[in-house]
Amino acid sequence: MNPKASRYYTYIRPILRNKFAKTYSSLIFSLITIFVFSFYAIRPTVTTILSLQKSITEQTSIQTKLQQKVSNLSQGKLNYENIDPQVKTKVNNLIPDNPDLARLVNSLNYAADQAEASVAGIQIQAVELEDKKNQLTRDAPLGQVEFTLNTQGSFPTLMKLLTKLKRTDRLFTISSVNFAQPPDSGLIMSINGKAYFVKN
Amino acid sequence: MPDSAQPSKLRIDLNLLHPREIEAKLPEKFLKWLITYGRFIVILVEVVVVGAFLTRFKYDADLDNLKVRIKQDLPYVEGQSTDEALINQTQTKLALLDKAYLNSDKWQESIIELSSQTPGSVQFIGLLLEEKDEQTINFKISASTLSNTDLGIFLNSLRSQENLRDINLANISFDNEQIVFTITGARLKT
Repeated sequence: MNPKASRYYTYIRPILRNKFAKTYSSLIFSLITIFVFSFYAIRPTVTTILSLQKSITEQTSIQTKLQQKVSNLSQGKLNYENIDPQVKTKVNNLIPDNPDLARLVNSLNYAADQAEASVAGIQIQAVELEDKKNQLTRDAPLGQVEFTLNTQGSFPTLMKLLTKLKRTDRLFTISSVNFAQPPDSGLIMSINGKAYFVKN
Repeated sequence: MPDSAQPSKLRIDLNLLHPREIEAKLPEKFLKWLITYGRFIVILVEVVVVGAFLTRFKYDADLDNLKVRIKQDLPYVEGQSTDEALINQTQTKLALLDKAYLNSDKWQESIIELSSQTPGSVQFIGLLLEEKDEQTINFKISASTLSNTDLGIFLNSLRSQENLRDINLANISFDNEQIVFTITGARLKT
């Protein structure tokens, strides 16, 4: 076989003799090599490094928050321990861990007695009664007990009752107050209010 | 002169023409490139790769340190979960108490303010106070009077108060020479 008729001489040699190929072959080889190395050797490492950097940023953020939490917890615990035990008891009575309806009714009656107003009726809206749990819940929501207190008395007496309701051992907030003066009867005051408890 | 007497001529083969390039074959060209440019590229890549590996080792070590520190702090935080709940609940209770006591005077204040604006001849039949929001109380006064003038004075007096808004005479009727009326409005907390 005539070697001059081989594929090399037929197809490749003309390319190699091409001036452009002669000039830029080194550059092309270099670019190909750089691309191959970049793709197979450097890219996976760089990807891993970027992934590690991301993990480090996340973990640093977690660690900073954790440190902040540790510091806040220590400070919070210290502050809590510095509260007078009587104040703690009072706060827990004002907003108990359960609806404690018996004490709610007692408080309303006691306030009325103190103001010398007569209680015509106490209505309490439906509320879910649960046993007291020993385990405290971190983000325990506040529950509400809605009530209506109907009282009768003179205007000064009823005003006094409004003042007394602020000083009971249970926290009340008032939503509405309605005074009515029926003929041949004393002044009637109807209070719609809410008492609070922590839902553990 | 005889030829033998002449000094022997120094012959130098000097080819001043640029030698025609012997065309290199492809493997030869590649090998030549490999030991020139290729070598530097490989060295450069190795430097980058080694650098990347060293960086990676450093980052691995940093990450491990962080994980260890987090693992050290975590049991403390978990152990304090009951205290945390207690502190959170106390904070919630105190915030509610603060808010409730700050707003607790508005009912008496509203009643006193409305009664202070009422002329002597106006008699209240009913007074409804409703909380609209933390700053506003809506009120509805049902009253009666014998004097048309006193009703006007009462209305003007209420409208002249800066913290009373939306004063309206909602209803008016006459019953046995008495004017029975209803006034609505809103009182802003001062």
